[in-house]
Amino acid sequence: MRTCEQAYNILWVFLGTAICLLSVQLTLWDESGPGNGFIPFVAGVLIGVSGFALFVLELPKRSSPASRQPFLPNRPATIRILLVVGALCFMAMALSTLGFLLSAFLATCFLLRAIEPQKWWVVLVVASVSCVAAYGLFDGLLQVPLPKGLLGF
Amino acid sequence: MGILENVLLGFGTALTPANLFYCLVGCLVGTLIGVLPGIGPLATLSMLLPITYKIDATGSIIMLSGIFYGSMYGGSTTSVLVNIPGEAASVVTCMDGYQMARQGRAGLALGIAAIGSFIAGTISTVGLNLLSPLLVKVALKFGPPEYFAVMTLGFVATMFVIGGSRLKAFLMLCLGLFVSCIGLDTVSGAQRFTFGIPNLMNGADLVAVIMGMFGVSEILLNMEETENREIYTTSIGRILPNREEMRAALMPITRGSVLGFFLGLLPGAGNVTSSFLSYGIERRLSKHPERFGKGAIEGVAGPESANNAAVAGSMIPLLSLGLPGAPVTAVLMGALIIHGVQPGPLLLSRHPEIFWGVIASFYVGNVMLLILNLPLINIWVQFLKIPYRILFPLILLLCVIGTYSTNLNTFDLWVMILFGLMGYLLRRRGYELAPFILALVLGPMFEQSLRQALTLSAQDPMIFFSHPISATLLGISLILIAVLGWDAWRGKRAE
Repeated sequence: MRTCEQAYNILWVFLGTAICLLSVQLTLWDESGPGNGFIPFVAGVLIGVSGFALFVLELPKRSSPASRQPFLPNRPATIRILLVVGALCFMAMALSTLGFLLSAFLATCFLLRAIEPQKWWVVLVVASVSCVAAYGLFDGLLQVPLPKGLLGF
Repeated sequence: MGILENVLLGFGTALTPANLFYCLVGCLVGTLIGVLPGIGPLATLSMLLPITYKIDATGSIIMLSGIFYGSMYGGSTTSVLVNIPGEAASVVTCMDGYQMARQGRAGLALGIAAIGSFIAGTISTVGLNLLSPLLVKVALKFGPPEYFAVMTLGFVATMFVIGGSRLKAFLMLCLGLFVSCIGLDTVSGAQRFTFGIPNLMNGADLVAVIMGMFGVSEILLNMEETENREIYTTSIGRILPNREEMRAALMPITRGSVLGFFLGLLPGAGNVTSSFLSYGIERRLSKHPERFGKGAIEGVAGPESANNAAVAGSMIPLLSLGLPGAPVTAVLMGALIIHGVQPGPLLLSRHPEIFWGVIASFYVGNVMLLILNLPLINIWVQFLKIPYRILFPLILLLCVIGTYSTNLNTFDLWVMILFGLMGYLLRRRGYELAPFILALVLGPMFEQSLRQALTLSAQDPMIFFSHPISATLLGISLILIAVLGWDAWRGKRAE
C-alpha cells in the first residue's frame, strides 16, 4: 500500500519535470517581464518539489491513513467503476453518430442492468422516461441543441 | 443612490414574477440536491448552466444562487435522517443531528436547522448589503499589483483552512495553475500545451473539468460500496422548538451567522470550514461539552447557521472584486460571463439591477426556503427513498448534457471522463480538489496580473510592496505562510 503512495509521489516528480521541460520551450522571460512559459515553469517546479517532499516525508512512516488505502478498491467495485467509465466512453463515442436519445437510452439501460441488475421493465421504463424527459427539457423547452444521429433523432 | 433606493431597486428586480419563479426553482432544486447524497451544489450548478442560456443574466444568477443556498438547507435533511451528509458542509450536522433523530427528535433537528439557516441567511444578507458597496469603492483603486496580491492571499488562505495534508493541497493548487495555462496565451497568442489539438486552444473547459472532478468522481467513489442507507423511519416528531430549546439555540445561531459570514468572505474558507469552526466554538463555550455528539441542539444550530451565512459572505468578493473565493462562486462567475456581464467593481455602476437584484433575492430566497422546508420535510424524506442505483445513471446523463451543451462538442466529454478518473484516484488518496479548481479559475487572472504588474514596473518586483493595498495583502500572506511553516515544523517535532 505504501508503495502505491510512493508511486504517486514519484509520478508527481516526473510530471513536474515534464512540465518544466515543456515550459522552457516557451518564453520564460523577455524584455517586458515574465513570458508565456514562466507560470507553467514555476508550477512545474513546485509540483516536482512537492512530490519529492511528499516522497521524503513518507519514507519514515510505517503506515499513514492515506497509505493504507490500496490503489484500487476490491474486484467487484473495480468492475463497477470500469463499467461506469465504459458507459461514459460509449456515450462520448456514440453521441455524434447515434444521437443523444439513442446513445443515452442504451447507456442508461446498460448501467441499470450492469451495476445492480434491475428487472427489465424497470430498466426500460426508467431509461425511456429519463432520456425523453431530459431531451424534452433541454432540446425542446430550453433549445439546447442536443446531437441528432444518423436516424434523425 | 442611497441604501434605501438600492434596496428598493433590488426588491423591484427580485420580486418580478419571472425572477420570483427562478428563485423558487433554484430553492427547490437546491434543496433537492442537498437532500440527495452523491450530487453536490458544484456539479449541479455546472449541469444546470445550459438551462440559464435562455434566461437573462439576473434571472440566471438568482436561480443559480438559489441552488447554492438551497443545497445548504437540504443538506441537513440527509445528515439528520440518514447520517450521510448531502453535501460537504453538512458533515458536522451528522454528529448531533443524527443522534437527535435516534432520540425521536428528528423533526426538531430539521426545524432548528431551517430556522437557524433562515436567521443566518438574513443576517448575512444584511452584511452583504452593507459591505459590498464599501468593498466596491476600494476595489475601484485596484490595479494589477493589487489583484495579484489578493489572489496570492486567496491561494495562501486556501492552504490555511484546508483539511488533510497541506502539501497535497499545495500540489493540487500548482496542478490547477498549470492546467489553467493550457490553450492560447492571451498576451502573446502562442499555443501552450495544446499538442496540436484544436479543441485545446481555448484551454480545458471549466464546466467539463468541474463535472468530471466533482460529478463523475463522486459517482465512481459511490460505486465502491453497494447501497446501505439506514433511513430513520420512526416519527419525525414536532418540528418547531419550544421556548427553552430556542433559547439554547439562539446564541449558537447568532455566533454561527457572524462567523460564517466573515469566513465566507475569505477566498477558499467557505461553508465547510465555517460549519466545523462553529461546532468547535459551541462545544468549547458550552457548560456541558459532554452533550455534544449525543444530540445537543447547539451542535446543529451553530454549524447549520454558519454554512448558510458563508454562502452570502462568499458572494461579496465575487460581486465586488470579480474574484470567486470558492469553486461554486467560480461557476456563478462563469454564468455571469456567459451572459456578457463581467463581475467586479464596475458591476455596481454598469448593472445595478443585477447587483442589487441578486442581493435582494437572497432575502426572498431565505423566506421561500423557510416556508418550503418546514412543511415539506416529509416530502424531502420521500426523495431519500429513491435508490442510488436508479439515481446515478440520471446524474451521469445530466453530467453529459451539461458538459456537451457548453461548447456543443464531444471532445469536452473526453475531458470530463479524464478529469473524472483523475478526481476519483486523487480523492481516494486524500487529495483535496478545491485548491485545484480555485487555481484553475483564478490562474489566468493571476498570471495576467503578474505579467501586467511587472511590465508596468519595468520588471521591478518592488511594485508589489510600493502599493499600500498589495503590500498589506502580501504581508498577510507572508504571515500566514510563516504560521503554516511553524505548524508543519511543530507537527514534525511532535511525531
